[in-house]
Formats: sequence, structure tokens, C-alpha cells
Amino acid sequence: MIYEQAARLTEIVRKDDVKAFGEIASPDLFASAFGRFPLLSFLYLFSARRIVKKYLPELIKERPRTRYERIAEADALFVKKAGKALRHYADREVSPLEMLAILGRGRELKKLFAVYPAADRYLNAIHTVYYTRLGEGVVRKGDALILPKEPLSYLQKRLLRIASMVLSVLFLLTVALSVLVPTYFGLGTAKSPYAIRNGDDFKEHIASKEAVLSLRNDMTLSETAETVGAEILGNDKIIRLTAPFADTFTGVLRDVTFVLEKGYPAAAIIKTNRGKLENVSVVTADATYDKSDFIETLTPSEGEETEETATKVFSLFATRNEGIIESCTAVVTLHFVGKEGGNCYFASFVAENYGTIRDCRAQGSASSVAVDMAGIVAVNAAAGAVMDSGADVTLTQRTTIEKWNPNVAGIAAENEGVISGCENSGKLTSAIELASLGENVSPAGAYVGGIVAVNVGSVVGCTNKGVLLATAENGFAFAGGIAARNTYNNDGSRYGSIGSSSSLADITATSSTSNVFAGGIAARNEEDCVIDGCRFTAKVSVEAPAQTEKNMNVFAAAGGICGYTLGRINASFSTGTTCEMSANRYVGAICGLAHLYLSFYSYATFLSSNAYLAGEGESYAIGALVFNGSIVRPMDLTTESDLAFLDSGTTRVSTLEELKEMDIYFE
Amino acid sequence: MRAIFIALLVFAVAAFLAIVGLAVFVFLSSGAGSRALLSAGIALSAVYLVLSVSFLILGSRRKKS
Repeated sequence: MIYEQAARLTEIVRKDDVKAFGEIASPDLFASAFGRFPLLSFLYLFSARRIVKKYLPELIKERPRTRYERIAEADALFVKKAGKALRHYADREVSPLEMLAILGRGRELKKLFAVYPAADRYLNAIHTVYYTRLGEGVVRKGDALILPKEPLSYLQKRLLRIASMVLSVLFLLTVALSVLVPTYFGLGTAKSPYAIRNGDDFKEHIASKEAVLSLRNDMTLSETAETVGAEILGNDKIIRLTAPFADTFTGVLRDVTFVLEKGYPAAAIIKTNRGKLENVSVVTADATYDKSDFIETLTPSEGEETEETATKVFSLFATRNEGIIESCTAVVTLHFVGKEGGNCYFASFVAENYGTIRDCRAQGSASSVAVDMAGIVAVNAAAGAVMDSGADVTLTQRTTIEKWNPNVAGIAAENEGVISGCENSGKLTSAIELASLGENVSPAGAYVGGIVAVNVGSVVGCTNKGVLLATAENGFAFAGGIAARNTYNNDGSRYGSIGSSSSLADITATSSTSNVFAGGIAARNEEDCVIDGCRFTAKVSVEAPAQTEKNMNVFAAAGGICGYTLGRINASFSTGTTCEMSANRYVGAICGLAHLYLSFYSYATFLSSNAYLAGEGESYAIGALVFNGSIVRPMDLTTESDLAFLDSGTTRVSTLEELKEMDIYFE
Repeated sequence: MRAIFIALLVFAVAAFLAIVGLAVFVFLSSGAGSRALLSAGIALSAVYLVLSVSFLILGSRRKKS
């Protein structure tokens, strides 16, 4: 009966159908063998793993065999799978253990060997099978069976080779992706900076403190970044701005040109710079701004100013610089209008400098109505330094506002820090144009200084080559080749000092109504301030105001070094020329008007080791003295010794050669 | 062995898809994450190379005679 079901059994076994097998399972079936295959061998041959798993205890029980005719399909399969081992089974029963050995199913063999009744009796046969198949026998180690390694089948090998090829392709694709993509975009390192091709790229990386960015294209930016900490390599590309570049900059910016488009707001490209700008240019469009357009302010003084009354500023590079600006250029074509009052500054580079500005250049022109102007920096604070920089900007300021003091300077409008090695070549003009003054309104002053308008810091090794002009209608006029006023600050903690500087261009100051001061180095040199080792080689002129009944004391003072000095002038010389002396025009080769101090021992001025090249007419180092509240002019002095006092502390020389032999001379 | 083999292949494909995803992210974010892409790419390439060579060697090994 079982044999009659052989066809069905074969079908069930081939399908590994546990349920169907359960339907025909019986002790007779478990005891049956088909040809040389006991039922379990038969199941192994057809890989009926699930059936074996479920019925293994029944299948391995020792029973008397009921042998049936062979099943052709099973024989054919066995012949196909047995390979060389077939020779041992020409007409022999293939036990389950041997079947597993023949099929190379080592792991199952080991498991079965451990549970099969009297498995040792098959050990030799298993050994023979393995030796025939693999040239290596099995070893019995304790209860464990040590089998030789099965070689991979052809299919497995082919699968492995295909997998290897797939992995090779993945390898190549991964290498390509991971190298090409970062190469295109960059890694943000110094060796492989992020490639910035447009404004979106910029926005993505600009805030990162560690990233290095490299500009690949010119671009336009229309949004202001809050913080920029990246190192940006500009590669001489152009960035057009319609809005400021950054609020706070802490990174490094190199080799880039910013062009301020029409409509750009009146604010610096960077509000606060704490980083480094190197070889950066800012070029303005030919633009006109109203004072009310200025949106930035100087830092208010403690408790004194509110946002509303704070000084408004417009500078191109930074409103406040606490970092380094080096080898940068500003190209300016600007006009400022507006009649509103309130302090207001324009500077080509920085409004407030607490850092370092080095080796920078400004060029172009700017004109204003009541906006103070400077070629480099508006206010150079005590911590600030401006070094080896130059301005060739024509600056012109005119005002018709009462009480407004127009300040114009080649480098800095106000200096508390250090300005060294700087040069101005631009023509500077400061003018008060008031037809009349209101009642009880004090006249204001027009200030122009080749380097600085008001100096309470240190100016060293600077040169002015720009023509200076201060004119005042109903106001004072101050024009100095280096500083309009060399003075001290309000709390007396800082005193102005000008050293080793040269003034090489003509200086003119005029007023129709009030006092006028003009000096080759400074218009006024205040008490305890110093001018040391300076030279003047051009012409200084003053136009004396007309004396009226209302104002009989107005005068003009002009000197080759200083218009009016209360401080010291040392080791300085003038080879320049001055305008002629007149009743209320005090003109001296060194200073127009000098304050005479009464010391315990003698009268003295603070002039020493100076020299001047005498012209054709009568001239003295000092044009007039202020003594006991009165002005003493040469014409008021009668004795030779009194007149000689006007040359005190100064050597008068007749030829340039004589001057050149003196220690104080330099070119 | 078969399970390990399949697991390795699944891992290889999944990791490649992850790298592709990272590359797309880098592309969309103008280069952000490119360092991670490079690092992950190099590491994964090394894994692929080792697996590929290993599979090739296994697949080419001849039976001892």
C-alpha cells in the first residue's frame, strides 16, 4: 500500500509538505525503505527539511525495515548528487548519515550523528564518503565529529563572483560620489574651501567660524548676515551689495571688491568688525544721501546721549572696528545733503576705530552740507591705530547751519589714539557760509586738518600733500597742515602730540568776521601739547577779518609751524612762506601768535631748537606774543633784545644749505 | 554562511543608498556635510573593496587536487 502511494509520497517530499506527510505518516511508513534509501535518507535526498525536523524522533527509531521497490526519480537524483561517492553504493543501502555525508551537509550530519542510534557503526562509511569526495577523512574527537571543509559549489562561486562585481561597482560609485561631490562643493578647509558660486551658497556657510570659503563667481547680495565668522577668500571677485554685508564680522575676508549699488543704505558694509579684512575694496556708486538716511550711530557717551541725539555716522568698511583692516581700498563718489542739525560724520573706512587700520588707501571725492568728513576714520579712539595709510579724497564740507563746526580731515576727524606713517593728498575744504548770525549766537569754527581735525592723541611720521582751505562767513577758521587743533581731552587725561611729520601743501584760512588761525603743522597748539621734529615747506595764508566797532579784537594768526601756540614746539623747521604781517594779522615763521608764560625766573615761550629759512622782508619766528592778556606785536617792541625775544628758541637761517647742516633737518 | 552573505549584501546596498542620500543632502545644502560625505564615502569604499576582493577570492578558489 505504501509503495502504491510512492508517487504521492515523492510529491509530498519534494514539496516538503508537512501537513500532507502527516496524513500518510504511520509506523509502517517510518519503517519503509525505497530501494537503497531508508525513509530518512529519502527525505534528506529531497531536502525535505521541515518534515525531517518534525518527525526526526520517529524517523531515527530502529525498526525492522520493510523494503520496497526503488523509486526511479530518487535514484536519478542520487546519481546526480552522489558524484564520486556513487561507486560505494552500487547496491548498498544508503543510511541517513551517509546520505548527509554524500550531500555535503556537514552541520546536519554532526547533529544527526549525535542522536542517531549506534552511529559509530557508520563512521567508516562516512569517512570513506568524505575521503572519496574531498580527499580528506573525518575525525572523531570525543563525541564530536570533525568534518573536512566543504568546497563551494559552482553556483555559490558564481554568486560570489557576481556579488564581488556588484560590490566593485558600488565601490567605484561610492568613491566617485564621495570624492567628486566634496571636490565640487569643497570641504570648508584651507586646502579645500567651500566653493561659493552664488548668494545662497554664501548664506549656507557664512556663519561658520571654522569654515573657509572661496568665491568662484561675482554675485549680488541683498540680505545682511547677522554674524559672519568664516574665512572668505574673494579671489578678486566682485560682490554687489544692496544691503550691508554683516552685522558682526569675526572672520577673515580677503581679496574681494564690494560695489555699493544705487539705493544702498547709508551704513557700513559691516556694523562691527572684530575680524580681519585684507585686500578688500569698497567702491561706491555716484550717490547722494540725505543726513536723515544715516542709520548708524557712534557709541553714545556714558549717560550723556540717547539714541536720538547720538552722533550719526556713515563709513564704508565698518561702523565700529575692533579688528584689523589691512591693505584695503575705498573708492568714493558721494554727496551728502540735508539741513538738519545733529552731529554727523562720514569716513571712507571706519566711523569708530578701536582696532588697527594698516596700509589702506582711500580715493575719490565727497562733498557734504553739514556732515563732518575724514579720509579714513571719523573717530580714532584711544585704543585705535591708523598706520601707513593714505587718502587722496577731495573732501568739501559747507554749512549754513548756525553753531555747526564743520570738520574736515585727510585721515581722522578726531584722534585719541595713534596715527602713524599716513599721508593725505586730497584737497580739503571746510566752509561756513552764514549770511548773518542770530542774536546771542556764538560763531562756530570751520576746521580743516591735513591729517586730523582735532588731535588729542599721537600723530607720528605723517605727511600732508593736499591743499587745505578753511573759510568762514560769520565764524572762526582753523587750518593746519597736520591738525587743525592739537589739544587735550575734556578730563585732561590725554594731550595731543605731533611728531616727525611734514606739511608740503598750501594752507589758507579766512574769515569775514572772526579770528583766523593757520599753521603749517597745526592751526592751534594748546597748552601742554607738543609739536616735535616737524617741517613745513609750502605757503600758509590767512585773511584777516575786517575790524569793526563791534569787534575791534578780531585777528588772524599764521605760522610756518603753528598759527597760535600755548604748547611746546621743538626741533621743527619751516622753509615755507607766509603772508605779510599787518595790524591784526600776526605772522611768524614758526608761529603767528605765541603765549608768553611768566615763570619764576623769567619770561619764556615753549619753543626750542627750531629753525626757519628767512625770507626777503623782516620776519621773526614768532609773529606776536600774548602777554598779560594783551597782544604784543613787533611794532610794539623797540629794543633789539625785545625783538630778539621773538626768535627765542629758534635759529634763523638765510640759506637752505645752512638749514640742511642742522640736526633737525630732514626731507 | 548564506545568512551572513545576504546580510552583507543588504548592508552594502543600504549603505550605498545612505551615501547617495547624503550626497543629495550635500548637493541641496551647497556643500554642507561634504566632510561627512567624504569620510563616510572613504570608509564605505574600503568596506566595499575588502568585501569585493574577499568574495572574488572565495569565488575563484579552486578545489585542492
